Amino acid sequence: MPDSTIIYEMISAFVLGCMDKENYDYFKNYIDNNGKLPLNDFSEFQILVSLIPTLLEISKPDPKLKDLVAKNILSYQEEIKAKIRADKTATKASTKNVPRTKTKTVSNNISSLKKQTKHSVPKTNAEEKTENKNKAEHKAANTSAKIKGRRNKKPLTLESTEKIKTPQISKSSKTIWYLFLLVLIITIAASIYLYFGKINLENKTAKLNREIVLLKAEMRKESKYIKANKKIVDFLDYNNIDIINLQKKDNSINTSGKLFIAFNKKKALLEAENLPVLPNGKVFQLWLITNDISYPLLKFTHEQGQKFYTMPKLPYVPKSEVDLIRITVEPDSGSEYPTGNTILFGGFPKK
Amino acid sequence: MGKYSNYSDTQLLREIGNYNSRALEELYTRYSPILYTLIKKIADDDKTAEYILVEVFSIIWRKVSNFDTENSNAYVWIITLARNRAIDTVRRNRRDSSEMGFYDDEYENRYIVPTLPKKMKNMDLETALGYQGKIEDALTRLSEAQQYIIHLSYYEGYTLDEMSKKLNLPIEVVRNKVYLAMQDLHNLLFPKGNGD
Repeated sequence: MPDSTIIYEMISAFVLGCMDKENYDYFKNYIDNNGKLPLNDFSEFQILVSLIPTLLEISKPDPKLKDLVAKNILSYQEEIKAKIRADKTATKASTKNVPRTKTKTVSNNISSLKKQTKHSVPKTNAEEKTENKNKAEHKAANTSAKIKGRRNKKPLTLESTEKIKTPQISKSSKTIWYLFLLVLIITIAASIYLYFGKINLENKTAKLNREIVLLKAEMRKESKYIKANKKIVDFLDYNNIDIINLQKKDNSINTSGKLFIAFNKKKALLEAENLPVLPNGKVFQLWLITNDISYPLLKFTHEQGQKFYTMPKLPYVPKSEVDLIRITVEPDSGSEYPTGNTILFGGFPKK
Repeated sequence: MGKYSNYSDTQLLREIGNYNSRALEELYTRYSPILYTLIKKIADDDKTAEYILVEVFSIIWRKVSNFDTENSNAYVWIITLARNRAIDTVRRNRRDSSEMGFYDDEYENRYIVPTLPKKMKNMDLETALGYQGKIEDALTRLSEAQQYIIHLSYYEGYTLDEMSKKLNLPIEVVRNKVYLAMQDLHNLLFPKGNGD
């Protein structure tokens, strides 16, 4: 058993679902193979984590989703039925096969036993002689009968024709019967093949449909990503872009930002992530400070999922005269000069 | 009120195991709000959340035989399954898809269907909701860093390695922080000597 702290660290990461794939596989195998674990704590950790979502503010899904679930289940119904049918067929087949095999084995055993008996009983000299004599007599009788038959050949009568024909008719009916059986077997085999082919095709279609839904969802994501990043993609078309990395003033928050400036086009784009939640009646304001004068460049609020903010027009300020860039919190009417707390700030490195 | 409204969550799962669609309907009525809320919190948009919710119930329908009705915990199984499915989608959007592996039946059994301790106290949704106050109290007593780590791993699907890069900390430190956060939460919610 691994060291107890390691085990607890692994349990914690496992129940929180933050293990990487390799460690997850290792730990899952360990659990599946009944590896030693503090089961009570593992169980309580798992319950704890599952209780976290109870704190969320519950919202109900669209009622139409229930129908979608039902439709989805119906699509699996056929798969399940086919599985049940396959199981039943397999059970029947195995039930039928067992006694047959036994019978065959018994009869095989008997015939092999008979064969063994034939070979194993040694013959006496007298018996061998009698047998040889009988064989010779039988051979002679056959030869004389054949000669007689050749001599006594007569024109064929209806009766005799019929007698001759009878075995021919039975032969042809046998052939027809075999043909019929063959056709029947082929028909059954073809039906089974087509039936399972159809089920297979239906399963494949259902699987493809599911993949299409998944792909559509992925495409929605991709287009959302492109939409979200369109501003920066467009902005990067300008030549000579300068970047100012903005630093947070308060280390307890996780905010970060960058200002992209195309001085020759008088354009700028702000990228800001994890901006703090603003109190009511407040906005963020971005300032350019040069020669102790603050120019308000942009007033904005943060919206879910937004991280790029475009500046409508940049005042003419040469790059060398940009002293500082600041983002402050201001009243929502905006300020003429910075009055609130600084969230991010930065400038070009001074030579 | 339907026939199954008096059934416990475990009884419903047992019925679903017999392909009883009415039992699944009752489970949907009971669980869809909390599962939808959880998935919406994890997924990026409502459409994806709706898609995942439908998927979760279809997995319950197909994979309920993996749930041990005698020894396991119905609430934990369902919530963990939904969380796993939602996080998988988020990770697939965040990472190169080849890193995640092809999503097929085998993948679903291994990474989506929950692997729970062999023996657990049973619990249904109603009991779980009864813990709301306690868990809220316990979570708010954790430090901000601990809360952040729990948020990153549970709702954002960050692995230890990814958290280590994001927080610029060695992976051993992150792993230990996760453990300490869980241990503190455990001590606050299940104080020693209280078998609750």
